[in-house]
Amino acid sequence: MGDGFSVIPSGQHPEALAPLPLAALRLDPATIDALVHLGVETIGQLAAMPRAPLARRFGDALLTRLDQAHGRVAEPLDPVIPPEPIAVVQRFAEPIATAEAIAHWLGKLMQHLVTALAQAGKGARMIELVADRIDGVPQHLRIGLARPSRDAAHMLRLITRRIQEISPGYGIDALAFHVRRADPLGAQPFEERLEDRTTDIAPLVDALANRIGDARLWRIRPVESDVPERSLASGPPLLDATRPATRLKPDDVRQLDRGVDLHPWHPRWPRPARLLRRPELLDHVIAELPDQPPRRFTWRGETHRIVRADGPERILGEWWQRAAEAQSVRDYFRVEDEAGHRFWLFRRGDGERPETGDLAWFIHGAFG
Amino acid sequence: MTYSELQVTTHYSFLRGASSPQQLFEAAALAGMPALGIVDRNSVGGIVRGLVAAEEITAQGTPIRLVPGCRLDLVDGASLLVWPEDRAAWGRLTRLLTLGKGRANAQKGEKGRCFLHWEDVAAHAQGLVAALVPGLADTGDMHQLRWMADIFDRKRGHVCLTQHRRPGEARRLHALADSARRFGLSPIVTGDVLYDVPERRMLQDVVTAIRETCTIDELGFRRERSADRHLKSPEEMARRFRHHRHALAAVEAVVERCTFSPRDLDYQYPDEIVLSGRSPQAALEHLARTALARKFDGNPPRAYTELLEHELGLVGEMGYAPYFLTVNSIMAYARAQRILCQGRGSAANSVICYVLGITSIDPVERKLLFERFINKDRHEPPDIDVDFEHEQRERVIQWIYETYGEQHAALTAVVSRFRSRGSIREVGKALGLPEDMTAGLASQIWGWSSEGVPDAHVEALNLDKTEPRLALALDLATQLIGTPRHLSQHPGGFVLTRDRLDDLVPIEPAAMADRKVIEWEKGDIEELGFMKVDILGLGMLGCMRRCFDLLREHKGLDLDMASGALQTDDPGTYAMIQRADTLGVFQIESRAQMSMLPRMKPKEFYDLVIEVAIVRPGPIQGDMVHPYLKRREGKERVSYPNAALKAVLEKTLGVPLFQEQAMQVAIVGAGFTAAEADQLRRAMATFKMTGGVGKFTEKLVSGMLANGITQAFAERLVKQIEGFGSYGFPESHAASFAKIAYASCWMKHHHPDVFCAALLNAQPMGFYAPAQIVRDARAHGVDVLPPCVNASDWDSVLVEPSEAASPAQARPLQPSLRALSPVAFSRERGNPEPSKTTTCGSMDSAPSRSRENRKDSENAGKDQASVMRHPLRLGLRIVAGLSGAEAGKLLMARAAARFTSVEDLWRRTGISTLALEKLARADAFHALGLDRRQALWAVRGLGAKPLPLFAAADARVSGIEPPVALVPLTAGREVVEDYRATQLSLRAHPLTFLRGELTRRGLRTCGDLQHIKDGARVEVAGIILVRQRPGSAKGVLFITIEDETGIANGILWPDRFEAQRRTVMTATMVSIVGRVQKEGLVIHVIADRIVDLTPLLGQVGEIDLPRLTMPGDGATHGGTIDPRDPEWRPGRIDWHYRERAAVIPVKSHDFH
Repeated sequence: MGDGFSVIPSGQHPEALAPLPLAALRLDPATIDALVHLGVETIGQLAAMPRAPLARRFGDALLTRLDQAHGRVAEPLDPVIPPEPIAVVQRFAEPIATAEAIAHWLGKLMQHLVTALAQAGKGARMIELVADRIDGVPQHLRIGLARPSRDAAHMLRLITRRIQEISPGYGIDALAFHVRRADPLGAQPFEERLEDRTTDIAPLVDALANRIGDARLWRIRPVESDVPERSLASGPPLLDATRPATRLKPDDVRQLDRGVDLHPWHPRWPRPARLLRRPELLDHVIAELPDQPPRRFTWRGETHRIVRADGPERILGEWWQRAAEAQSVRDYFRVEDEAGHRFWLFRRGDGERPETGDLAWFIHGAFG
Repeated sequence: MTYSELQVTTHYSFLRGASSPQQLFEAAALAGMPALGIVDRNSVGGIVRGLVAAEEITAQGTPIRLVPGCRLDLVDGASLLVWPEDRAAWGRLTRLLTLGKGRANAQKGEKGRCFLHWEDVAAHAQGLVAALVPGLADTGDMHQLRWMADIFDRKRGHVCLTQHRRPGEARRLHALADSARRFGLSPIVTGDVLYDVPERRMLQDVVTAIRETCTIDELGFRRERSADRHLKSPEEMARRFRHHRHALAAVEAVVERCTFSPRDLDYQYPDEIVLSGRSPQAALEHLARTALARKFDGNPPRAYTELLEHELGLVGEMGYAPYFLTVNSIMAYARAQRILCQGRGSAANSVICYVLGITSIDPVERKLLFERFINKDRHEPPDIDVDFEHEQRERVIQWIYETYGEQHAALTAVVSRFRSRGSIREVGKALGLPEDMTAGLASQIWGWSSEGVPDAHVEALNLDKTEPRLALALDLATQLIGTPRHLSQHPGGFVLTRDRLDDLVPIEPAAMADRKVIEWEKGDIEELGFMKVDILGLGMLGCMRRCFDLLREHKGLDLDMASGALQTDDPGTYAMIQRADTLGVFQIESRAQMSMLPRMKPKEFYDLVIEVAIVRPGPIQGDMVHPYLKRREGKERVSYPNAALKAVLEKTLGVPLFQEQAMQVAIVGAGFTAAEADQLRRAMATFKMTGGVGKFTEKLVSGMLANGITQAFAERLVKQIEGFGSYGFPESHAASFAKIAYASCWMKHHHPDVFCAALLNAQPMGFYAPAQIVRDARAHGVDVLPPCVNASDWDSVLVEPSEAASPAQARPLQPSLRALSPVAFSRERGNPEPSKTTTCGSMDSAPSRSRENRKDSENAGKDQASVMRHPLRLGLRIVAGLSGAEAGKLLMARAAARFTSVEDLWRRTGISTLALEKLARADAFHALGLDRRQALWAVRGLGAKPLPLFAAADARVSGIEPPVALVPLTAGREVVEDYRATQLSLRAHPLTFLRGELTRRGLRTCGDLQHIKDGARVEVAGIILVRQRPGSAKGVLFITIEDETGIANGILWPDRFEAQRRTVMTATMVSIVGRVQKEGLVIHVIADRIVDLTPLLGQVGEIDLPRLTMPGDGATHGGTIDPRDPEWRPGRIDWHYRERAAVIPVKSHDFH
């Protein structure tokens, strides 16, 4: 007794169970509710009632639970078995030290690894090569893959490119491939026609990522926001499988809608190819208020004279993100100077109401 | 060159625009625009409001005109703005909208939508000026431009040039103008305005989030991407579009061309083919004279004939005859179907209506006035509302549709607007606040108030009001209050026309099948002078019809609303009214009325008229009631300002109480003309908002002085008139209601058994819940029997006394009870044997009744000895969740023979086991010898489907079950289960079981309050029945609690209420600690503290009691059951307890 559990001598469990509430029997809530309404609240009361009427009204599940609690029916437990990791090892009678030998054996090992993966129905995401040296200092080499893969040639290419990183020292005793991370991968069909092959950039992404590091490769995706700093977000290099658009029923009236949704990066509304991380303040800007583009400006010491311009593109602050933005307005202009460079400038404030900005000019990006 | 904004979206484009027409017109007038074009999406709902705003502003000196129009959103995504040039074009526009809206199937969730194609537009395009609305990045869609060019020519077809401030705009506008010209259309400049000032942009974003049902963070590009959508001045627009001068000129051309105004809408009364060959006026005269002669058996008195001729002349002059004929024919249909109905309204005061049977109040005898100051200049149609029995109203409505035609009759709309509760919930959801935070804030809001959430509430919930999102939410929620959400149908206002109705206004299908609604509200209709008849349902009329039917069936009496017995003043009935023993009676049953009745002491019909009219929060605050009462009680001398006014004010003892009197005072006392008096009436109705009576004050005072009235009198009269505000009640309405009130009182006094049965069967209605109705009936000596599968009908019925005396039925316990009135009412019957559970002091006080009460009982006994009291068997309708269909099956099977067991019932009726379970929970099987648990056990033992007869017998033989002993219910638990299943209990009140504990804590019973001295401190406990805050929200709170001995009325001053708001709003049972205040027979407890005792309630049956508040409860239902009050909402209140966790918070919530 004490510490939250008690030991019940054998044969006395009916008495121990009797005062407990019905919820302890793992019954579903509707059954418990009905029993409570009938005045049955403890296991003892339930056990004292004749069984056939109970079974007729509440089903056999109730009696099974009662019997399980009293030990009359067995309820074995299912153990949880941890999965075994996949690994292939090659030991050498004599230690090897040359690059060609290592490359040869890597090729052989890779075949075994691929077979093991195929048997397990998995594709590797991260493989670690462990080379055991004679002097006991193991060498590790890791490669990562963007998509689960069993492609031996591909993985081998990735590894052999980095073979220089292994220093064999006085010789390598054993080479092992450990699969550190694997995802389920079904059977891969052979391709029948060469034209059907869509370009798969996953191998390219793998090659680049493994060369320069995972953190330095990303893809930009659009965010539905007009504020330029917030309209971009970074994401993983490979796109997720696109979900198919919801199909409408044939008699749905929305089928008649000819309107087209504007993509966030609409070609009619170009954005600069280079966006400055922080807009830089400009000096000596001459512009007519409230909505004329500037005639000239000075940036990083250079003065630019404007010959062509388009705008203003009015972008308002997002008041729910920051209260300070509630009233602020930016008027963006695309300008081209005499030398043909095109810039993306903006002015804080709409020129009509003072609370929208202090009329300072900034440069935010450059086209081309 | 000037500019008018032609593309303005008001908030009548639901959840899209953010400003009202009034605000937009004001902003436009300030900016100096000469006209404003309202184009709401597929709707013309805001046009009349815009018209009123434009006229008001013009009257104040800044001329501005409304150009009505509409934005048609077609099915293929195209949008075009249209403005009709003239009356005929408006008719085509409304027909086009009706066509589009008629295609929406409200049952599939398409309510309010409109489906139009280019072909439809082409068919209705004559006389319309149109402008195509291109998309944000559009330089001219070929398909749409081609259609526009086909339908409209250069003068009437345009393409909108709007600056959205997106990249490449100058080129886009240029390209667009070129495309337009190539197709033969003119470019036109618009601003696509959504709100009046830039500061409303946040509200507009929130409204978009609400419309898209997502939070504002997820809104993304569904938000309006161009945000310059406020009204800009003409100079600014001219500057912005200086490269498109032709487009600017096109705007002016359109404004000049479209001269239509809704004032041009001519309106015709429907034709009444009553008597062939006669004009409506002639027909009415003939009908009225014949009816008058018939009423007086061929010899009508002079007074009536003179009055009739005078009225007919007036009606002829104003052309109102068709209106009377229409109302007459509707009521004739109702009477032919034996549906009880009664008319009321200013026109109902006339002799015409009296002889035609539209009302049953004699205007000559009661001295009512017809000419309610008909303003001959305004040509307003008169106003008659007709009350029908609530359930039969639908038949009348369908008859109107059939007779007048679907294209000539429709219901007016009611625009549902955001109120405090809905507003904070929706804005909170849109801003991503957690749901229990918004629910907590919303639950603190009283009923349907429109005052936003004050800081005190926020702090009371331990929320930080400076937290930015919360502060934003509160601010925006306050701004959102009053914005329209959607159209719903008015309870019964019908618009009837001679010509096609959809030539005047678009008609759309309502959510209910077979109902059509127009887009305009009652106020808009009145503004334009259309005829409207209100077909309303009164629950009490349905109740009275049931009473008459029951009387006929069980007691052999054949009565009607017009019978002689109900026309004369019966002293016994008035004695009952003076005792405030009026629970369940029409109009004079509320707590406020009951407090007033012992002071007013009505003894004749006119007293009832006054009682009905003035005991409302408004008149009490307007200081009309107290002077009148004082004069009536003789504490003040009755005096009149001058002799002429004596005639006007004599029947109300010199105090103006009715709207008609106020105006007569103005005419007779201050020399106003009828037209001026009518203006005064309008000013009184709105004085709270505009302070308009002020400008009449000097005229009134000077006029009165000129007529020989003293300054003091004059000022007092003027103050009383000002106090009317919107509270002034027409005498005719009050008289109609008093008539029904008297009839129900008579019925209750003479036949309480019939009255109780009828009232229960007419639920939901009234101020009180069935539990109180049944208690009151039992206190008046009616025997009430519980629902039973072998004896109950669907409705509650009267039982012949011999039947009820059988001992075979297990009758539950009946402790003695007190009536619910503040004054004790004794029982003539002896008290039955004491129950196992002891009740409170009422048993002991039975023998110690005062001599006075005993004398009353003797008198009462004499009245009632002649008429027998029948016991009442409660019907199956009070069993929660039992449908009429299932009960019907039960009744049909029972007709053959009574049921002998649960299985027998199941086999013979075939109703589902779910329904049987509900019956079992309501203890309806006691006649079969089963209590609740045994019945539930038996029901659960039934299989899925009834087996064929022999198979069942075999199954039973093979599996005879061993008997099972179930734990019997405690008495407290029985009561709680009664409440959960039927919302009432015939056994005992829940508090009976807590009385021991409460007495130990020093609490007294509600019944004891009579014996406690005035001013003494006391604590009483009870279940909250009703909370009311009459008048403004800053006012006093009345709270009524009930225990097993009766009720107690508590008064909470505003500061006490605010300090204990959560307890008052959310508790089920409380105790009131305070001082007793007695005024004659009326007892109140002035509360200092309210203590939450809800946890105690949970102990009665170990499970929760349902919420027990009555329909009159202001906190949950808005508090008024009076159809005249502006806050009244019709609707069925669900009586039955639903097993939802949200219903009873027995454990108090902590909101964090």
